[in-house]
Amino acid sequence: MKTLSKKIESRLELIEEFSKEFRLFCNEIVHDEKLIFNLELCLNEALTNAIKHGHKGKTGRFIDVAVDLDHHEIAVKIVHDGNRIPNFALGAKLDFDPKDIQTLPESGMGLFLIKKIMDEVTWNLRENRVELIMRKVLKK
Amino acid sequence: MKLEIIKDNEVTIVKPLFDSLNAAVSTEFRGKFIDLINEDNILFILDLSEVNFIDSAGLGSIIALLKLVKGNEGLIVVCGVKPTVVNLFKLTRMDQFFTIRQDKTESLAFLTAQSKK
Repeated sequence: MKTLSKKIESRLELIEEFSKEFRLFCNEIVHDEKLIFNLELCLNEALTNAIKHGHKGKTGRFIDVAVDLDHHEIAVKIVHDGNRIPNFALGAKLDFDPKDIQTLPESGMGLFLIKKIMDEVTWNLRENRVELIMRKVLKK
Repeated sequence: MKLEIIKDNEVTIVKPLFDSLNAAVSTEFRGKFIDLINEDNILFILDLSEVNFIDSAGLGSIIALLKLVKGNEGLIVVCGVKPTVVNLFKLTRMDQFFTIRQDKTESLAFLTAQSKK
């Protein structure tokens, strides 16, 4: 099993650098570009949520990320000391009227994508820290 | 954040010159594009050939632009989309609302044909 751990300052402009590191890390075992893109997308969405909604954009806060990867599964754990996601948001759906273009969503798609791509998504509250764990089976 | 903006007759071709259209840059990207819409441009090509990654905030900004352009009875064609990025459009079912073409030439041909109708 390979592990990638990092403490990232809670700033949107720092996601891209870590995202590229995550992509290279996944590439060592996963050789499916679409799958790597989807995993990277989930990482980005989770970090963006932590920064925008967890820490509400406040500076000087940090997010811990730990990724465990082997040929069978990837587990991404994201931990921060900000606000937890409200329960009503956890059932994220993508609702719009296909006949009316003005109803297409411009935001709120992050959780929907995470839940669609990952096999298991759990949120825990441990010692006042919000913990998100996302798992995906790579090979059965 | 750099955008290449080229006018080809009535068509405005916008090409982001960065790797990721993500939450860090999506607001600025949207703002720059809205400036072009406010200059009375109605036919657009969004060339994503330099963009390797888009997150939901980036996609949201493109959706917002689609709504604005369509609201002005204009057209927007997206081209140069990497297969991985097309996958994001499909995951969110947004592929059915966007005209996606292979490259700039095909996009111009589509807009030319549409504007003659």
